[in-house]
Amino acid sequence: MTETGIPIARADAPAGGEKIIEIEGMNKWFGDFHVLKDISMSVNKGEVVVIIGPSGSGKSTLIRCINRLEEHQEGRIVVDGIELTDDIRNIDQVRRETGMVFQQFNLFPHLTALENVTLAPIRVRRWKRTQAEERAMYFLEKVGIPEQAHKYPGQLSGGQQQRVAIARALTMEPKVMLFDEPTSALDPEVIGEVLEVMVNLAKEGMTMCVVTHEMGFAREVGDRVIFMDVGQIVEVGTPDHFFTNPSEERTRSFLSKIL
Amino acid sequence: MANGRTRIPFYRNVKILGVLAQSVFVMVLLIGAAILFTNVNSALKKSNLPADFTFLDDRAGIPIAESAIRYETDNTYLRAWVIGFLNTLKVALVGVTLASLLGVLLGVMRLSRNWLIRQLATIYVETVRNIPLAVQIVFWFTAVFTPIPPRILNPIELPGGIFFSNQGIALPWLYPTYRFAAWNSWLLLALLVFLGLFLWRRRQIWLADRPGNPWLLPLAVGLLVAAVGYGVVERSGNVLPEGIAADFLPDRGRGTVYLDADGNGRLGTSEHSVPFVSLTIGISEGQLETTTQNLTESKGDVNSTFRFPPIEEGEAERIEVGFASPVDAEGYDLHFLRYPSVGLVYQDHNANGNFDSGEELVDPADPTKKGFSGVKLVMTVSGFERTVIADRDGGFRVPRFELPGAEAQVEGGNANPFSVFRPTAAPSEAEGVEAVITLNKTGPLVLSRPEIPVSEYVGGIRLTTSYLALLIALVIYTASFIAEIVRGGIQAVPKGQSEAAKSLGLSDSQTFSLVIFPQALRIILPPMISQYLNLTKNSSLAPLAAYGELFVITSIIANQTGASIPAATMLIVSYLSISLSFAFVLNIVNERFALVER
Amino acid sequence: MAVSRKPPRREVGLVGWLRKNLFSSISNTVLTVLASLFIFFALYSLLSWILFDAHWERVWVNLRLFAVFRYPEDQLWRPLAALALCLGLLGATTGLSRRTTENPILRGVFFSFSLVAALLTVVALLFWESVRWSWLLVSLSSVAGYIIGMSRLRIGKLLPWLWAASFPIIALLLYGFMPGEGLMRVVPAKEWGGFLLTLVLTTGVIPSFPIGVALALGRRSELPAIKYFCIAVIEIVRGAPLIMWLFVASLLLPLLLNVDANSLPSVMRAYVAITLFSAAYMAENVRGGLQAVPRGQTEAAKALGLSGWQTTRLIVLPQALRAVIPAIVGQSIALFKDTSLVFIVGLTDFFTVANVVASQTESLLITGGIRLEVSLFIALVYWFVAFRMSVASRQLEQKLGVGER
Repeated sequence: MTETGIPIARADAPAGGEKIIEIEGMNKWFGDFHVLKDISMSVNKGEVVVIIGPSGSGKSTLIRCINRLEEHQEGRIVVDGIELTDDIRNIDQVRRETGMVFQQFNLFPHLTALENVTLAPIRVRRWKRTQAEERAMYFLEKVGIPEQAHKYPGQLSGGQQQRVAIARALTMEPKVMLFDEPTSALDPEVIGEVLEVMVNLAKEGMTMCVVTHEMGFAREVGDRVIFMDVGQIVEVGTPDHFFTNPSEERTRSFLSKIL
Repeated sequence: MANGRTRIPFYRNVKILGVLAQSVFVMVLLIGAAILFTNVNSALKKSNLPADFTFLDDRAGIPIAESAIRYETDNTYLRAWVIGFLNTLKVALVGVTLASLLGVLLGVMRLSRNWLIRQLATIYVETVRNIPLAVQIVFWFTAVFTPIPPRILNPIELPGGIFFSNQGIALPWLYPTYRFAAWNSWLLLALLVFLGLFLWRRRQIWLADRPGNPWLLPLAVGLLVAAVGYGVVERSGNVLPEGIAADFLPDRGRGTVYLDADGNGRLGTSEHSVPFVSLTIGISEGQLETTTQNLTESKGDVNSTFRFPPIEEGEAERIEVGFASPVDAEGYDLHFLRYPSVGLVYQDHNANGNFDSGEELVDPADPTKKGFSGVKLVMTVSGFERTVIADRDGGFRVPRFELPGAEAQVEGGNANPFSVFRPTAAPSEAEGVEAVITLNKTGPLVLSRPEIPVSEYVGGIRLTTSYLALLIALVIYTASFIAEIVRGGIQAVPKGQSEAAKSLGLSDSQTFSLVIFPQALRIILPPMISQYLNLTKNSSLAPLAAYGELFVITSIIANQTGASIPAATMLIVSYLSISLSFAFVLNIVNERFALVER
Repeated sequence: MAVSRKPPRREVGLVGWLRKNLFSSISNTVLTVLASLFIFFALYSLLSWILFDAHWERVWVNLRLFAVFRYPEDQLWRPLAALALCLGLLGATTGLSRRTTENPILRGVFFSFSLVAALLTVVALLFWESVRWSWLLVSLSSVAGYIIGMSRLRIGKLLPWLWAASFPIIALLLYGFMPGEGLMRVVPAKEWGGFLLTLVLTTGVIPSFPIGVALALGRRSELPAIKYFCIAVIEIVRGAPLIMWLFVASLLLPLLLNVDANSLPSVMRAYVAITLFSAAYMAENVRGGLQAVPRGQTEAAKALGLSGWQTTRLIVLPQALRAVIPAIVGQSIALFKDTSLVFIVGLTDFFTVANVVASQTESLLITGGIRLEVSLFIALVYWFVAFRMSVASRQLEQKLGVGER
């Protein structure tokens, strides 16, 4: 129980699967502000977990903790068997194994699309340039924009930029993909092309944590939906349970506003 | 899955690595500092130079041409340094004001609707800011203010009693007298009245619920109260302080106003002078002598010019100017350029009583050379009376009169004060001229006008050519940057703002003053303040104009004493404190003007 | 049916332009008349003085002092060879940049400077016997550089290295390396001066660049010891004027290094002061660029697994530095103007030569002196370089879209 009166829920992955992300009793503060309260969740390999909630509920901060873009202060986060501590080697390993897609794309404007995609494989994985470019082109084709490979981000539309960003994350061949509101900064008519890429990815069996407001996406490919509010997990369930018969009052009022 | 907290080797722990890196960094710094410190120590031992600040109490012996407070070459280094600091402030404050005015004018000109005006301002900005300030200072000092101003004996007189010559500009100036303290309570009252009225007006405007000006009426009333107080103080009470006396040396034409503490009627070494006292000097009978000199008034014309200490016609009952030797009186005539003090001696060949060209004196030894110096002239004056203002050292000057018919006195003769006057003046007898000195009633302020009794300015306030050259160069240079800031600030306000204001029906001037200007000011002020700081820092180019400010004085101190380290410390600390105070103001401005945003 | 017509005559053409810009109202007309009168009298008196009254011959006979001060006459080919090298490299860079967007800007700079060189070459061929062929070399080198750059020779990769190599070459060329009286004999620093010294001191901006970048990165460091040290250095240096630092450097450097004051040449002391001073301002410029790089960029780089140093080197700095190129050009111009302050440590740069020339006996014999002439001459030279570069800086700013966001 917290001061809000809503009981804290646990978001454990279904038993039997191979757990790839485990978070146990995790707490985080920004200064005096308690942003994440007693988060306990886990994700199985191949699972697609969708995190929803009102803005300021801490959902972005949660997935940014998973690759240590934010540091947590209490509790444990284990990704692919590696615990995130102050150990710089562990941090590097976890970041190598997780890909992230941002709301604002965050492509590097001084590099072409192809250079954006090959940068990390060459510098971090130490691949040869030819090998890196081959894989990069493979993924650029997969997201449907191989012809834009030699353009600079400034010359691409928002949807194209986000797809390059997805290809950039995929080329590192991560075990987990983190999506931080990938469609929120896009024009309505291009949201579809990005979602399509994500749906395909989910269908291929990629492990994904997605923070989004796209309820359609959650319904179509989500294995589990986690609802967060005021820094805590409020309710967890399958999309079916969630969109038809949520048990918490707070969840119901949120869904009624956005659906 | 990892079981519990595993130990992390320290070389992989981000937190420990951070601490480690800092410790190494600090160690390197400390070692570096230690090496430099030992270096400096041994170097100082070798050279035996002063390394602390005790030398500041020694006699400086630095001549400084202008200072805001009293300064003599016998003063200490510390006082010389303070003068330097004040001189920096003097050039910076005036410079900042003038540069703002010129800069805003130019910025507005750059946005003018008139193409020609716009181009003029652009040319100004692009020229001035691409030429080093050093070049501009040297230009103004050596190419303008050194050759162009006339000599001090032949100054340009501007309306309002302003003089301009190679010794700079002298302006009339208001000085606070010993009566100023009596005015203080009135000033305080005026301030209180102003504040009270302001608060009342503001509340009234708030109650009336319409825009109005809360400043104007309170300001007018406050000024009125101060003015009434001035009048009351001027007319009332005990005018002169107890024991005030004047010590006058007629053979030198100067004296001092002081507080006669021991009552012996003489200026003792421990007695204080009283500055800015108005006094009237009356001389019943006296005579001035001068000799003509060759002066080139214009190209080719060489005249035999005479110049008495300036005396106005109204200052005396009777003035006569004549030749000292009867031989001269036979052959020569006088032509006044300014009666009765300035004129020339000529030979009236055509006897029309007027000076015509071709009637100049010629050298008896060489008739082809025009102009002949050495004709002695006398001016006899009776009933002379002049009101002078003592300067900040209590000193005052009048022309050096001699007794009519007496031989010239020995130069630098006995300095015995021949007459001492109490507030109720009484004439005194001695071998010189008779003089009566009356100390006048003064108000809290006294207007001191510049004069040129001999060959330098006395009274008023004097701005040297060094100061003027530095000031003008700084103002012109900084204004070019301010102009760009002002232009940029006004242009940075989106066009939509003025369109929105106009669509609401505001007039052009309302649009500017209520919508554009407040937004532009927010953009303009911060860079403007850093330009003010730049101007202040740039005043350190003063050695190019020989102006004695902070940097110049401190570098002279360093060179004279060899105290490199103390002098360097003084320089760095003073400039840093100037910069920090500007940064402080900037912070306040930024906070006050920060846009309220989500 | 509506047919598009020409606008009323009074709105367009010369008449329209005049109406709009000069005579739109009574007050505007008055301003126009007053401004024209002012321009007429100013131009008239200035031109009549320049053409009839000024004594330009004193400037003309002292041109060598202005250029190099007391650099030995038989060695004058060395500074000119250095100039030829610089112009050649600049030409090659310009020619090579044909296809980039920066080309017009570079071309403008290169053409205006090589035009001046060509003019001086003509003058040299006519009047200056001792440097006739060296000047020809300068002009030829600039043309050759441009042609090589334009040609399809693959020197693009080589050019940065050539630029880097040119600095030690120029230093050796100017200072010399052989004792005695030979071809490449050492020219002691005290014989340098004039415009040569001004340019040499301006190169202080080059070593100041890495120091400034380091200070800027340090200022943004998360480690407090490094952060506050960098803040202190930057703010203390910027808090006081350059002239003071030059003076303080000449006072303190011998003490700090515990060496004899005479064994440290003034040029070196001035160079150290100028470099450190410039570095502090450089740091603030670079910091501006660093702040302009969005946080998301470092986050994306970190999420990809790049290390902190890789993130800075590959992601942050390239973007930050590109954004501050105009500011750095601006700072170089400011430094170029500020080198005039080295008079305080007894160096004879371009600015100080003016004083030397004005105090020559022959100059003092001229009625009224020649202060005005020398002031105008050096002002013109400073102005040309500074103005040309500031135009380029402004064009760059527009190209890079700095300030538009």
